[in-house]
Amino acid sequence: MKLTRREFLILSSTSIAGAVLSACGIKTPGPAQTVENPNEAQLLAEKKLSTIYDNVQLSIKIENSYGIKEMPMDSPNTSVLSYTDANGVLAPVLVASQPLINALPSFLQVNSLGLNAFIETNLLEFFHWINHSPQAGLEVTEMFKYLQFIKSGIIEPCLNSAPGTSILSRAPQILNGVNLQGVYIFVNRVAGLDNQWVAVVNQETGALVTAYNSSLKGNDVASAKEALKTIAREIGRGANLTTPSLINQNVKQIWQSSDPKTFTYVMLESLKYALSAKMAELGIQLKDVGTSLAGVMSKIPKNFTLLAIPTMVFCETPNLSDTLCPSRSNKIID
Amino acid sequence: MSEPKLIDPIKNFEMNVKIAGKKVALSQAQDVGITSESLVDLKKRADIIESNERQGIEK
Repeated sequence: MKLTRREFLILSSTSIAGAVLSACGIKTPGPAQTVENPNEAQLLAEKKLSTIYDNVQLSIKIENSYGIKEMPMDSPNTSVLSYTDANGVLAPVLVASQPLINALPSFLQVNSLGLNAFIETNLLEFFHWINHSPQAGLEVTEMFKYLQFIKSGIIEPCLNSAPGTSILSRAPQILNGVNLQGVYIFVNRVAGLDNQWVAVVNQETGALVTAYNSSLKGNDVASAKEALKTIAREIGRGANLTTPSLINQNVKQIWQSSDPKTFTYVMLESLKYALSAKMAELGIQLKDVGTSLAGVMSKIPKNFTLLAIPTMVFCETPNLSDTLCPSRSNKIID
Repeated sequence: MSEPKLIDPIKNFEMNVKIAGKKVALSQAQDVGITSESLVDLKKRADIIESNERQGIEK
């Protein structure tokens, strides 16, 4: 089986959705919802994947907008999520089949421009908080460096009651018809009001909502006035000052953990948020997913193909046979 | 971040879409910590606002 890069990515990314949907029992009726046997679960998962792949194959071939050329290899199968130390940052990586590994260097070289365009177009959509990275690094290792900065530069000092830090707590609420999550707002102005960083974290899951320099107004101009306005705005939304001792234990565990793998959880929560939004657009209920995508993924058989590529990033492609992107109006990329 | 900072990403969402465009308005609404369901609602609202704006310009 010869796959184009596009087909490969579609196959891989839809695998996540397929796995999630299978695990949730949303699209697989009958015994699939109650099967405990790993072998049977694997067979069902492969069957589901096969169906998705067949659907993709049936679709009309669309011009590859990223200019990515064909992957010179046969079917890329077994993959597992692992970790690698790159530039001092522990980042999750895909451990792929040997043919894929052999083909990657030349593939990446030939397609560097197309892949960069792909990443720039899609990572921002799925990991909202990297919009505010001062280095604007979009590589995975850069994303994890940014997470390390948020952890050690904003949240941990707040949890340690360092001078110049404060924590606000805002309960879930509806504002102008918009549902707001319950969040903690970690504020660090150790470097002064002209350099006040905030990190907004979900109160229940500990997921990172966003982190940014709140002293900046437009055109990267920093001012103390802007920093104070940020806080005033949150107080106006009902946020109150709180103390580290009142912070949810789950949040503390995630952000004070010395295990860098904790960041995978943060990434998965971001992915879950984006997936939920996409599913809601498609009218699919995700209420059965459970408390975290990580929990769902932990149930997926280990040899199931899994790529840490956001699902449905190709939804700009009209494809009536693809249940995930049934029409052009459901595109996720503008 | 060089995008303009908007007055209030939630209360003034409609105005923000008109001034700064859908992408910036949605991005800053996400910074407040909206739920995924509300993100979908706001996307739909933004599409309608932009569509109305375009029709207004064409007229």
